[in-house]
Amino acid sequence: MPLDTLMPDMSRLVDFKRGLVNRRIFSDEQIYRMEIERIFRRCWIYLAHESQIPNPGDFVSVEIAADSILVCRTNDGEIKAFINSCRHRGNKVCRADRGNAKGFVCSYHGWSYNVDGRLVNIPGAKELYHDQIDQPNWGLPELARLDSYKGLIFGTFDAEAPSLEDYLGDVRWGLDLLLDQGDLVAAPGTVRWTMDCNWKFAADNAIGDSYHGAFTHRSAALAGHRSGTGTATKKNLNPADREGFTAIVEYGHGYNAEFYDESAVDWSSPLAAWRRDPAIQSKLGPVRSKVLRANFNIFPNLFVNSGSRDLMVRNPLGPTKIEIWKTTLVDRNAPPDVQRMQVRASNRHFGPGGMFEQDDGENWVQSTDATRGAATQDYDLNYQMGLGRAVPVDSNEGPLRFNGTVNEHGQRWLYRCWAEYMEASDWVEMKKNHSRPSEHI
Amino acid sequence: MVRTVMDSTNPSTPRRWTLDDIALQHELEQFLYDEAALLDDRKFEDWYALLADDLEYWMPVRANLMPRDESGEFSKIGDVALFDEDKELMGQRVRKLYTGFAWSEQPQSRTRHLIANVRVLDHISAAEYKVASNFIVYRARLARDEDVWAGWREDVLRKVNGSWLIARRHIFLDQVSLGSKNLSIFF
Repeated sequence: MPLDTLMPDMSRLVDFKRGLVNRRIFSDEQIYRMEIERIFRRCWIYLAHESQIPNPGDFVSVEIAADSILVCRTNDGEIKAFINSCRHRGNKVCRADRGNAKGFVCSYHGWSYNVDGRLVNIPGAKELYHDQIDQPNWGLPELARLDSYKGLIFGTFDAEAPSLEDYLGDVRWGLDLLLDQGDLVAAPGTVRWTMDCNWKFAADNAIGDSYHGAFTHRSAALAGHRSGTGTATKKNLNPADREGFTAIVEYGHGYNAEFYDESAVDWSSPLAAWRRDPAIQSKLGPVRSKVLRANFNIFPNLFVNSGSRDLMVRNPLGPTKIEIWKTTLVDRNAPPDVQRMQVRASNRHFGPGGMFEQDDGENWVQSTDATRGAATQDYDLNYQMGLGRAVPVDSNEGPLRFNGTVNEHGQRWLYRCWAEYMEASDWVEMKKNHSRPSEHI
Repeated sequence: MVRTVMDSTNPSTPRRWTLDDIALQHELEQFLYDEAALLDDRKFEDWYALLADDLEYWMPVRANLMPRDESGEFSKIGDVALFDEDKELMGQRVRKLYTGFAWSEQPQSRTRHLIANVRVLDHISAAEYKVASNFIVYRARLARDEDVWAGWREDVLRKVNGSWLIARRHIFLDQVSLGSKNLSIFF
């Protein structure tokens, strides 16, 4: 039976007009399988940072749901990404997380591929296969499309997807808050950890949950921990008093950005220096240069924090499991001790042991656990904060955004777009029928 | 590799143990066991008192690499890490537990630190020794959560006024991807 006929009506599970979300979408196996088909095999997914593979033969091994993906720099200097699975029996042809290789040899029967994915040798091609294998057709399957935005490499399995430029669209205006801070490269090392939560609870937090900080992270604040930016003073503002904006962007992205209060930034810290750099300020312009930090969810599963310069992929490993891959960016031109100071601020704030993030995992696992009970599922989750009260910022600069940081516009937008992806049978339908941010008000 | 000193020890050459060596080995082992007991007994403030003011408490990330790249297996000091702390931050971590809002430790984890293979690697200065130990830390949380972390530690233990302090603790995990939602405990 085709998957669709078993599927419930998505618009009944997500009622964005009333701010209600059915709990089933966070743990149902069928819904998860459909998400893999309609979201993770369709959208542009963040894979790696260009600086992680600077030289020919460099590779990193990443994952899109259960698909293992090799991202390589070819001998021509081009970046390619393909499925890390031998075409003969399917074993991974590369079992290391990263490195530099002339090619990849399957450990089972020795089929070998070069760094651009071509099948270059089959042991016994002549004697055993009588030269009847059409080798050009048995290379490692390449992702349909691959592209980068300011160093961030994204790939998609779907050839019909919009260009990366169109897919990211207006969210680039926001992402530049991070990507224009300097010549950013990935600091060595990836933090990876798993937790038993649905990927959407992590996305829903990333897209702009400025509500949870004061309570979830209260213990860290009370203990004297300040922020992941390394530049905050002791002054701690009540979230409701923090000025800033919330943005929702075509195709499911969103973020919120908090303006800084002059007195809440430690201007003596070298980590604050870029905020006074006229070249960076002019690139960012008057609105964005006032932003202390912005949290993004790039649909579906990339969390970006412009304050701590972190990128975190929340890769789904099942309806109730994710693996987080955390990368910290640093300015290539900053002195080593300043880079160290910045990475340290992130190390201490985010990650499984981070003063802040250790309590996030606890919450997302609890939220997910409470979506399994058959009787509990009768009770929708409440996403009503700020419902019907989105006030567009009155400004000629930049794309549409709403006043304030503490609201649930982003979350309602996330689930609304999620339902549209789930209902659309392909990109043609999705491109035609998806909602625009201006319709959200 | 980080374990240069340990690897250079050739077990086939019997070491000449003096009674002083044996007493020192015993003293350091007992210190590590007693220290672990403070953590398992949730006496975090007492444990914090064992940390030297110039403490370096660090847990790098590990990668799964081909043998030729083995030297890059652990991130280096200054790069991405799981813990990258000084005494002040450890103080915040301990205080956090007593705020009444530390959700990842309310209810509290139930931990068991198994410390073994204790080896005195180096006599750094008059009062400082470099000591390696292996660990398995088991954690049970809530009704059904379980975590196991394995690895080794390289400590610098310092004797000050007749008492031992931890001046440095480098913690090397065997896991690449941690199968635990948080690291809200101490190693």
